[in-house]
Parts: sequence; structure tokens; C-alpha cells
Amino acid sequence: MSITIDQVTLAVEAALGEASLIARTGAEGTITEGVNDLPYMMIYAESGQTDPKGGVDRTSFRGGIRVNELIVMVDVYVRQRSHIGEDMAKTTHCTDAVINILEEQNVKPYFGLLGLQAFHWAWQRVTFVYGDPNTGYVGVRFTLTFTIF
Amino acid sequence: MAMTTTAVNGCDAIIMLDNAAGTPVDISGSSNSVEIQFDNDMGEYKTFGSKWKARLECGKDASFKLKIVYTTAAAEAMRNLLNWYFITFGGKTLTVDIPSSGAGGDRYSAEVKLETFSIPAPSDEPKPILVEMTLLPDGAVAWTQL
Repeated sequence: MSITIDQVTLAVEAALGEASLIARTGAEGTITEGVNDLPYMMIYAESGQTDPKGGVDRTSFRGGIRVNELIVMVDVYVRQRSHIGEDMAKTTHCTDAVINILEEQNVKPYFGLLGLQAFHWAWQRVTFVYGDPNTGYVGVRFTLTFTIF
Repeated sequence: MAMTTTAVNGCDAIIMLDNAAGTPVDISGSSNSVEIQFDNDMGEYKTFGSKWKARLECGKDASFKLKIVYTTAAAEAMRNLLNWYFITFGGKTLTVDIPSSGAGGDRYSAEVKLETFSIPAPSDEPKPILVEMTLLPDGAVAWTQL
């Protein structure tokens, strides 16, 4: 790929970490086992694919251009599960804050990173079960899909 | 019957096209596909007493449809195309080697002129823009076994 996976996750962290309400972020090497200082945003690469709409690895003869798709997950641990109404309200506020940042990425370079040619996202409310003993956290998971060539 | 072992695909085809100086340049790395259409001109007729038509062969023709990737580097296909259409005009030598330039391949070459090209730019398509152009031979198309 024209850019590394690390570059993408760190660029996403730098941008989305600016979302209001987010207390702490972690990406790649700075992700911690402990979930303290909520809301905590965790960014990591999930999977990838070459030429997602085709049946080969290339868009030009002899491998001149390869289109790669990279999926990056952004997990936001919002609150330790307690009061359902407060949990939901804080979660939707955090979700809106992250979406606002994503919607600011109107023109290239997206996330300040040359090589990101396009992206889209989806989000889903999640109850994360994490730690030992297992603890429930309300939160939201964003799935960011990047097109890179 | 034994299964063939010599089937090929187009993944490693080599496309050469003259640049503005008339020098052949390998544009494979910025080209997505090529389709070569060959035609025989036919004159048909029918005679009394026969239900079936007969045909006579006459001229030959061909066309080359190339899909190239919209890029911005000077030596690549797109800049070559824009220079050709807007500045230099005229004919260029096109060479297509399938499956590659190695022994056993086939080379199709011709002096060609640019008939049409189109640039699609949708806002909702993340893949590279593919520009389609049609080239018509100005004279014979040569076929060479490599």
C-alpha cells in the first residue's frame, strides 16, 4: 500500500481524539489494558482486502495500481454500565461528537494523510464486556472503511 | 481430450503507445483493459433457387478500446492521451502484447488515430477513474507471434 496501517490508525486517532467528550484515546502501541478515564476511544485496524470489487489484485496491467480496502475500528467506551437512561444519553452524545469530526473530512487529504482516496463509516451501539472480572461498558463502535491506492 | 495447458489471461499484457516525441512508452502500469475488435467487410447476396445467402469478403478493419487510469504523472497513459488530443494530434504507434512480451505471446500493432475518449468522474465511486478511449487503425494491423 502507498501508506502503512500504522499511519492510518494514528491519523484517525489524531482526528477523532479531538471529538468533544472523549477523555482519552489509544491506537496501536498506546492501547492500554485498563479502561480508565471514560469515554475512552480505542482505534485499531481490523481487516483489509485488495481490489474489493474485482477478482484479481490489480486495477492496471502488471500490477501498476492496486486498490486496497482497509477497515479500521473505533471503539468508544463511554460509561461503565449503570443507569440505562444516562448510559444511552451519554452514548448518543459521544456518537454525535465523533460523527461531527468525520463529517469535517470533506476534501483530501482525509485525516491529513495523503493516500486515503475515499472512506465511509458505519456505527453501532455496543455493550462492551471487558476486564477480569467482566465489566459491562456502554459505548459505540465505528467501522471506518478506507480506500487506498 | 487432454485439457489445454496454454490458456492465458490479460493481467500481464503490455501496452506501448507513442508519447508526444514519437517514442514508444510502456503504459501498461496505468492501463486497465484493452479490447481489440476485428472486422471483415462482407457483401452478401442471394440467387434464385437458393434459400441460403452467400457472402464475399472485401476489406478489413479493427478498433482498439483502451481503459486507462486517470493519473497525473507525465509519462503515463492519461497525460499521453491529453497531449495527443489537445496538442499533438495525428497518428501514433500502438502495440499490444498478449499475454506479455515473452516467447509464445502475440503482438498486435498498428498506426492508430484517436477517435473518442470519455472521462467519468462520479462522486460516489472510490476506485480510480477509468478513462475509455477508442483508437482506430490508419492502415493495416499487424499480428506477430513472439
